[in-house]
Amino acid sequence: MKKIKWNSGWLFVLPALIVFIVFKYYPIAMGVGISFFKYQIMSPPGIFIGFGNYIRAFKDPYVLNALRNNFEFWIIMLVLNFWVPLALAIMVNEVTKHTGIIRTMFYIPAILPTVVVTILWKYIWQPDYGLANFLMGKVGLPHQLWLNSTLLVKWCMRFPYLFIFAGLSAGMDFIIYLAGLSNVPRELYESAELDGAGFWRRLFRITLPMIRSTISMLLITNTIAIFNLFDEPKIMTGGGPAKSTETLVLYAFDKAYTGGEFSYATTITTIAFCIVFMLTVMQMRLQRRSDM
Amino acid sequence: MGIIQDNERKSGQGKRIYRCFMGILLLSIPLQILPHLWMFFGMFKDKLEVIAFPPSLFPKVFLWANIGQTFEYFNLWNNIKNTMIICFGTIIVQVTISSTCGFGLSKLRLKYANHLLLFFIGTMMISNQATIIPTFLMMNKWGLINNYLSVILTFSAWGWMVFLFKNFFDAIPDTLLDAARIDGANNLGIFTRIMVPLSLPVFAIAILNTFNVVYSQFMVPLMLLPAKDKWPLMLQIYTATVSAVPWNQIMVLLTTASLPLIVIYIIFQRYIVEGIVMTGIKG
Repeated sequence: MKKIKWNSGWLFVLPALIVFIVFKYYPIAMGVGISFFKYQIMSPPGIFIGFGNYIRAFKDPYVLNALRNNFEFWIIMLVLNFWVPLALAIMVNEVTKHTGIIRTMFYIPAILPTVVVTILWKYIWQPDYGLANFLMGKVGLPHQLWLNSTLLVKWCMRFPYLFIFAGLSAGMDFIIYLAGLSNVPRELYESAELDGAGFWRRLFRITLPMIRSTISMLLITNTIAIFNLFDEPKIMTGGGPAKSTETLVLYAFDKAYTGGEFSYATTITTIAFCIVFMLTVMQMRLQRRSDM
Repeated sequence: MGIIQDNERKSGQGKRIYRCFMGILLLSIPLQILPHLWMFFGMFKDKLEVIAFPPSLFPKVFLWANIGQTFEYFNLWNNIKNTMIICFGTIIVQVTISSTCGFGLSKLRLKYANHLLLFFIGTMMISNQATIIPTFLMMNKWGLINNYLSVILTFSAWGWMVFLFKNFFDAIPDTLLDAARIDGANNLGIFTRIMVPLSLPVFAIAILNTFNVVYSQFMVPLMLLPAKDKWPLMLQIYTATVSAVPWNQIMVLLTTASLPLIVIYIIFQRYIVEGIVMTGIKG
């Protein structure tokens, strides 16, 4: 009987294992851990206060406001953004001539950084000299305050995603949909044509059911992105006007960065993480059921 | 291939829908480019012209001097240097650990390899937003705040990379490895002499995607690199917009930040698109 041989393959896995534990699992565990403390930076983790932070969070009008904002952003995402890349991908997929150049035109923006696009649109929404009010004037509508109006600001913030050229996640989704569409077998369309099914019937009975898993995957990634929303409100409005774009993560960031209340801030990010986690699990369940 | 069949495009409903789609697409291309053209030409306007109402697309005079002034005023080369350090640092660390790990999981017959893979993929649910504050506290304890290493290491743990490499290595036949083992090669030799040369496209996908994602990052450096001289490009741009910097200079900043990505994209389009299709995730 030879001795248990040590597999040197572990040496290949070890560096990644360490990095992932230290920079992913440890911080998330530490975040959950210190959310039960009143954190003191000089003598961490500070005083144990049990669920004190969570009770405070659910009584905090700003947290509730941020949750509502996140939810409103989600609704706006569904109304204004979610269907756009899908519709565009279906249309681009129909192109038969100059396929390469047309696809490239629609691909390029997928890579532009959020910061760049968000700032560009901040310029467009400027009430005094922005392009938006200029165009409003052209079609004879009254000028708006856009980013300074509590009513419009969320819509303005999501509006750039209507444009694939705005880059951001819309461009990503477009590329993924296009890949999904090209995987739908041709034969299905051919036999549907022989059966006399028209364009819309084919679209709703063949195409959309075939790419259903792609749609639900992107729905969940977009939802997760909404509950982690930080960059756009931070850059465009800083959470204003009147806290109408303050999201959970942005509020947590302000609490930690300017307030120094680290444990309360991690409590809020932990709540956001739990929401995302539950949504992801729900999505996996649904997907498994639909695969069967 | 589309829903409409070739013979249908000639007449009837197929023709109508096809015409209609082409019309929408052709109209939307200029509409979508317009904001970016406005950004590009805004770069050359003078600081009153850029906020004139009604706005104009083309500048009256092209003020090329704007670019030089902006670079000098913000010390922009320093920001570009910082961005490059962070991007290439992350590429080196991330691609190294992910490819070796993918090799280990795929080819070296480790126990529990499938469970370990889940352990790595599972981290994709843990967003940077969820871990940023604990990470800040951790880096603070280790004295790594304002050190590029803090950002590089935070970005290096990306579960998708491990998955990408493992999947690709799975497709390489075991017989090649066995032949090399008989010739006396050890695991490291097999990895560097056989696996890496056979998987150059996947390395290209990994490197380009990491570059794009890390280049655009905003929140993590905002938290971990508070010192002005350590800021990457994105932080410099953000700070410029919240202080009273004239818009023409901001347009220079925005154009400067987009250009490298567009150039890289045009050269390496295939790898980038493939990478996006496989990840489904940006940042």
